[in-house]
Amino acid sequence: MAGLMQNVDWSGYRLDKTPKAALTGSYSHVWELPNGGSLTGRIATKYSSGYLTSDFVNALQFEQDAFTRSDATLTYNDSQGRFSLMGFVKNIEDDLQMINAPGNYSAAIPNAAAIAISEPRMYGVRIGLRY
Amino acid sequence: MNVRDRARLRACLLGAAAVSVLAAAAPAMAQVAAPGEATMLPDVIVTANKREEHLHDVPATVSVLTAEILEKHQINDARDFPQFAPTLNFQAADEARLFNFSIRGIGTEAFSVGVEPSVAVIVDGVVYTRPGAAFDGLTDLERVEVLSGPQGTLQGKNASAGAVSIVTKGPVRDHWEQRFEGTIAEDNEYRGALTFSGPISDSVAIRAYGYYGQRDGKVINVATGDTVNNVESYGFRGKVEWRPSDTVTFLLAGDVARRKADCCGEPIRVASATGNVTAAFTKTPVGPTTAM
Repeated sequence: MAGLMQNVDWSGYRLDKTPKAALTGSYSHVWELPNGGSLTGRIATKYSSGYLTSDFVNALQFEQDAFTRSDATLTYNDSQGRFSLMGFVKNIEDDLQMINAPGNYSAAIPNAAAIAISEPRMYGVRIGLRY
Repeated sequence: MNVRDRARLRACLLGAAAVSVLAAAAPAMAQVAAPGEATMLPDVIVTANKREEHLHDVPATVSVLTAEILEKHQINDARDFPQFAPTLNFQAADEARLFNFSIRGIGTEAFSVGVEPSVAVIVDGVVYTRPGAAFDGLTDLERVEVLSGPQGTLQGKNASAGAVSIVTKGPVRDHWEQRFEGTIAEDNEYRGALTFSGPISDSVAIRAYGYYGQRDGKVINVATGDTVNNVESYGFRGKVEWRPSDTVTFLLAGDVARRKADCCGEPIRVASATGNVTAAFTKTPVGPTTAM
C-alpha cells in the first residue's frame, strides 16, 4: 500500500476538488398582485465542471463529472412587508455529487467504501412575520 | 483618508435618504429620470480588512452578499452561499466540527476537536473553530463576505485557504422591530427564530435574537424504526450598542449556542443486486499507485 505516511509523487496530478470552471447564475421575476402584495419567483443554478477527489491513504484520485445544481423559490410578500410565505426546492436535479474521496476504498471489495455525498432534493416552506 | 471617506459615505447615505423621502412624497415624479443623471451602482462596503472600505479598494478577491441581496434572494442558510460564490464548496454534516468549506479546492480533510479548518468561519469578527456552530442561527444577517485565497493573520491564525466572514445585524436605532421566521421542511425539519430590536434610550439600542431548530437524520435504524443522525439546536445572541456621541460607539455582543447531534450513524452496506453502487460514484480511480 502506497500510504499516507510514505513518499508519493503526486506531480502531474490535478489538485483536489478544483473544477476548471464554476458558474453561478440566478433569475428572479416579480409579479405585482392586485391586492398590493407581490409574488417573487426565483431560480438559481450553479454549473461546475468535473473535479477529482483524492484518497491520500491509497494514493488514488476519483472523478466527479460536471454537474448543475439548481434551487427555486416562490415567495409571496404582502403590501406592507409584514408577512411573507415562501416555498422552496433545493437541488431540483436530485443529483448527488461526491464531495470527498471515498474512505475505506478497496478495489477488491465492492461496496466497501463510504462516500460523502451532497444533499438530495429538499422541499419546504418558510414563513416570515415582521411588525 | 479613511475618515474622509467615511464622512463622504455618510453624506451619500443622507443624500439617498433625502431622495427616497422625496420619491415617497411624489411617486409619479420619481418615474421621470432627471436629465443628465447617470445610473450609479450602489457602493458596496466590506470589512474584509476589519474596517469599512469600498469593495474596489480592498486588495483581495471578495464575493459579497449584502443585506439587500440576502433579502432579495431569500438566502437564509449558509448552505446557499456556494450558489453565489463560485470558489466556495460546502459539505454539510450532522456534527458541528464536521462541516467543511473549501475555497478553490483547498479545505481541511482531517477532523477532530484539535484541528482548525483552513477555511476560517468568522462571525462578527470571532473565528469559530467548529464551523458548524455558525450555521444554526443564521437568519439575521447583515452581510456575508467570502475571501478567496490565503488571508493574513487579520482573519485569525488559520485562514490559509480563505475565509467566510459573516456579519450579523446590529441594533436598530430609530424604531422598534419584531420579527419571526419559521421553516418547515422535509425530514421533520422545523426551525423558528425570533428577533427584537430597538432603542431603549437616545444613546442605547439593543438587539436580541433567539432560534430553535430540529431535523431528523436520513438514516433509519431498522431495529427500532427510529432515525439516527438527528440534530437539535438552539441559541441566543444579544447586542447592546451605546453611542455616547456621534463619533464614539461601544458594542457589547454575546452569543450562546447548543447543538445536539446524535451523530454519525452510518448505514451498513450490503452487496447490491444491481452491481457495485460505490463504483457508480467512484468509477475507476487513477493515481500515483496505479500509474506505477
